[in-house]
Amino acid sequence: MIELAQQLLNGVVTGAGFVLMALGVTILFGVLKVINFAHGILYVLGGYIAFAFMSSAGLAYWPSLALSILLTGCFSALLYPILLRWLSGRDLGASMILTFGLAMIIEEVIRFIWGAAPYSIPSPLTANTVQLGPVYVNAQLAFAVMGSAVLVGLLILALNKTRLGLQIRALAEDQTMAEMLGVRVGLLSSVTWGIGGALTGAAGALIIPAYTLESTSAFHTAIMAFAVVIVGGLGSIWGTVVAGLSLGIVTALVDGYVLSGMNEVIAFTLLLLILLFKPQGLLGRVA
Amino acid sequence: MWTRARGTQLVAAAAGLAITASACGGGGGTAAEGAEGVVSIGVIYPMSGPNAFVAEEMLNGLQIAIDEHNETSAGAPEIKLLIEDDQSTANTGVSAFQKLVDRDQVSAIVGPFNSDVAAAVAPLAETEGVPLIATGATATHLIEADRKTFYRANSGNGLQAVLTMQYVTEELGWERVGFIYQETDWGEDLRNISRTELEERGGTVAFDIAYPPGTTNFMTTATKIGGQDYDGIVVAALGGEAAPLVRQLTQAGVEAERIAGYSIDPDQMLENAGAEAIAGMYMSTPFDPWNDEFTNEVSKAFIEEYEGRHNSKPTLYAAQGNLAGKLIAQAVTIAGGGDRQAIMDALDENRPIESVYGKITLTENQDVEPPLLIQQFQADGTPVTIGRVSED
Repeated sequence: MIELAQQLLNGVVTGAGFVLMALGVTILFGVLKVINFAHGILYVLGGYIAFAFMSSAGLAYWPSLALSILLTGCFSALLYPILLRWLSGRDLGASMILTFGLAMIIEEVIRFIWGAAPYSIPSPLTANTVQLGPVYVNAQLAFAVMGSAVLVGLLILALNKTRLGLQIRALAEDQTMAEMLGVRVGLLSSVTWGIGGALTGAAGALIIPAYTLESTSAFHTAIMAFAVVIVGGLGSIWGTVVAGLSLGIVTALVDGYVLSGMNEVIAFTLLLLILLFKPQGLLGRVA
Repeated sequence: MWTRARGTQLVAAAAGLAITASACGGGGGTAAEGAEGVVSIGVIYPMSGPNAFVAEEMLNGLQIAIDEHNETSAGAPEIKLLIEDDQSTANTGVSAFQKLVDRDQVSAIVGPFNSDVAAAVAPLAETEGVPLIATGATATHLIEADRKTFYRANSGNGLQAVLTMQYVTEELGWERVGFIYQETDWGEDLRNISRTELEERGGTVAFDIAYPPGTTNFMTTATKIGGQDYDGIVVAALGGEAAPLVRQLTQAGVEAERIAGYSIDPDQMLENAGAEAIAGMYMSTPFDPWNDEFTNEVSKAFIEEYEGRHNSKPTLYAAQGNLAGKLIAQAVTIAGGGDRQAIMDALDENRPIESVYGKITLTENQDVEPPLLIQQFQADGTPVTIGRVSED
């Protein structure tokens, strides 16, 4: 019974990580209908930026985390005016191919700067684990779960209670109409890319201290994030939360009681079932 | 017209495309100069993908041996390396081989590293008559195929697994042993041989857990092990997987003294798992650059050169790359040029070579079998050699 409780907790923690990884994809698709295949590498970039500030500049984790979120967000925001605005009006495939190529370029640049060796980002927490009665959780991942909840809350609040959120929602509903009503579509698109990048960078800097930092992990991250977003319903924040947690729990239980190392198999099986029976995703809306 | 359902299908298709693309990418070698007196040697290493760090290390070690040859072997042909990336996938490895052999007309090839890539490339090398000096590629079946063109700059899994199991059963008294291994040719082969050796020694398998390459979340594995009865755990993990695995096992309550690993890079373990997590853990390796007792003049010079170039101690992978470089340099010198058959004849002469492991010769299996060192991480995370085992 304790083992089952521990595996469920492992699943929730892993699932919260999936949610955190997938939020950036959700916001970008929800608003701009863009599929960002550079998502995985932005996650890794967030980790490398935090690592660079800690190891080279000697900064503590917290300012490094803040700088990582800020810089990944700025980098992502700049991608729009420099590259992605040229895709306006093109079909979805163009953004996929462009961002996929971009991901490979960024990965090579990361490898050029930091090499291929895995690194670790020291966790700022003094305890390795947090004991919850008979079960435990990795302290850094517990912190990432809280970070995940805070970011989801802030995102929903910002989208529903601020003027910027109103404009973003207007952009998501009807870009032409929003432009006619005075919304500066270019600037707002860039801001949306920035928000997506910042969320992804935050995910990297929060989750990676629990594991290792490697440029090669970008691909697996992107795959899991896309599976979560598709299962949850493209563009749906609550769908992302439900799908991320469900995927985390299902993979933990299968891993613990059936067969190890099946994360991606499970993710793609769920994805396949969703595509067959509910193509709009768990909480996505039918257009 | 755009719909969410259509978007979902497009994304799924793109995800599939991305997986395919990642498995089919190509490398980036340069053409041979073809100048007189220059012998082109191909290198097939996983310069990108999950084993890129290992490849970087092997290439660093190899380059030192080749530079040394080019600078000091007056009268011998100069060697030029042409590097191709196999991305740790068999298909890309085959493409890399074909480029090096058909386009660049290389005289021999160093690599691959992964056993499954070597398994795809070795039959082609045999057909084309190209000597292949693998670094890594430890799977037993590669040697059992008895190919004339297949050489290896390290021992196979068999020796390492047998000697490690000998140590943990005889010296540490482990009877019930669990295995956690990377789900690759390398990991499965190590597990199989270790298992057989354990059972032949009267031990039993407590559990047997495989994980896909690139895994860093081992929480469910650590939980699963919590309820098991075992004396020790033998781990076959590479690169960025070993540190999070050991850290998460110890966080789940597994004592590091009950974990033994194969050829894990100690520097990386200390840096990425931390001294607290690894203190007490055992590992087996043929190369110890930390303790003077286990270094010779060649390895001292190699360590010094490596530290000068890369500001860190060489890993076992760098040592393997260096030995591969020394083997090919000696063979090219004896052959007096780049004729493939002459290079194989030179390798088959089996002349002793001064290496990082001491004076060494190729075995009848065309690989090397240096003695295995058993190390244990101390409280500050430094590895100390506590035993030496060999077939003798």
